[in-house]
Amino acid sequence: MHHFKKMEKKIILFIAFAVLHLSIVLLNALGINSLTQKTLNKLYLTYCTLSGTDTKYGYFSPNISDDFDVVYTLYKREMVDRKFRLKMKNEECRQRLYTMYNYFYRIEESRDLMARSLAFGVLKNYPDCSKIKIELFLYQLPTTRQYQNKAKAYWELFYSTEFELN
Amino acid sequence: MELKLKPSESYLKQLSFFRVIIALFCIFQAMAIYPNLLELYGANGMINSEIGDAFISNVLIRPNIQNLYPYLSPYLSAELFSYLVFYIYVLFLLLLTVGYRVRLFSALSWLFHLILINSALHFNYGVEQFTKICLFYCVIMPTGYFAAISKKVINETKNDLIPFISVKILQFHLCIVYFFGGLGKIKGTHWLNGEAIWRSIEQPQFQQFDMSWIAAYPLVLKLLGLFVVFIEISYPIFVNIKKMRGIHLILVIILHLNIAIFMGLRYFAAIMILFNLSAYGYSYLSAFSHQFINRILSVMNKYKRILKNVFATPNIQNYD
Repeated sequence: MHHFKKMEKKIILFIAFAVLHLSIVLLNALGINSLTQKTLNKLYLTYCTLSGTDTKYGYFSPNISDDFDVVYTLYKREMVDRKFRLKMKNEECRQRLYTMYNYFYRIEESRDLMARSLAFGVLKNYPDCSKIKIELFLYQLPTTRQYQNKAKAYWELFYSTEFELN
Repeated sequence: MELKLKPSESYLKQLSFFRVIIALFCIFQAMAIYPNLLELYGANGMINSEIGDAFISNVLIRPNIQNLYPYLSPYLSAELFSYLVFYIYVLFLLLLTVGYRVRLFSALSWLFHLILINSALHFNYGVEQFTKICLFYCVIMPTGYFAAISKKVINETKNDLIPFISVKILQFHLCIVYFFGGLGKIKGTHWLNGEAIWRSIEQPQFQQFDMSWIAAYPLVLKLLGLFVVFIEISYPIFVNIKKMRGIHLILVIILHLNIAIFMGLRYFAAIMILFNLSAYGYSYLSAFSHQFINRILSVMNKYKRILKNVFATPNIQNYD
């Protein structure tokens, strides 16, 4: 009897959890990702982050965003030493690199900081170079109609910055 | 009205299947990340972690390699610490796969996955979100009753609603994922006029093959775009109608296979397929595997009879 009562309580608690959890999933999907009460909001956000419910599931929507690439130019005594794109070891790692570039492109506020971090990350591997230029290019893909009319895709410079080691 | 339930054993099997395939998936995914581990997740990775902190500053805890490393910096190098976290994560996943102390090792796998992904917020895409969701479910759901070394004893096969509710959580979550995924797509124009398909297969980030010839068939692109939106928005309806479930699941799997083949997002496609199979496809897989095993057994029996006849000891009669 005691065991049965214990089980009942466990089931009720689990049902309560399920309702609460799925409500949070739904709220996040609806774009409600913060609460007005400060402490409650912190708890809510922590739960969302830990459980993975902090997403709107809007992958590739409403439209497919622009494509981009980052080119690094290294200088040795004011002369161009090398110009390259970062290469990852496999497709999965490459997708992650482009996810990071996506932030670099989309979030203007953190763009300079990210550029600085990338610059010093790259310069670390080339100790004989003292200057680096980072260029973010956007891929201008024509629409299908434009493509049929012989329009070609091209890369357009979107952002450029330089860093120099003192 | 009495709620008719399957015995909880079948739900427990389904949840154990979920645990095994998610843990295996995480191991394969970890292997894929390993070659660039230090650049992506290292304590001195490509992007300073403080930039990532700015993204989610309003949470109580956010364990990551960069925050934890200072405690061990007198004993370990940053690289070694990053590798250590990674190896421990893989070890926990292996123990979760074989079902050793499932609750404990699912919690530890989830925690170490959090440490890794929090260390490289800028590098995470949809696959990490779903891995986190699935590992979280492995922690809270009863996933250790089957295919497990530390097997738990089922003592409330008929009354325990928890396995049933757990499976419903997985299903409801997927319904929300697809419905809102589809809803988001109709807010834009790309999915309705076919440009989304064109852009997703022709942009260098995703391009796997030269598919530029498809621009000559805008109607095909438009139909494909509408097909994706239809599959996603109608998911909660069709997948919950028993007669339609099988077909809709096949369509969803085809959709994800295309994402893997034509966009190169193999791991994202894989986890979505596995999540779908765990939530809605388990009964089909189970029936299929039973049929398959039975067929193999019947073939084996047939050959066994033939072999028995061939190698049977002849009945030698003595005519002397």
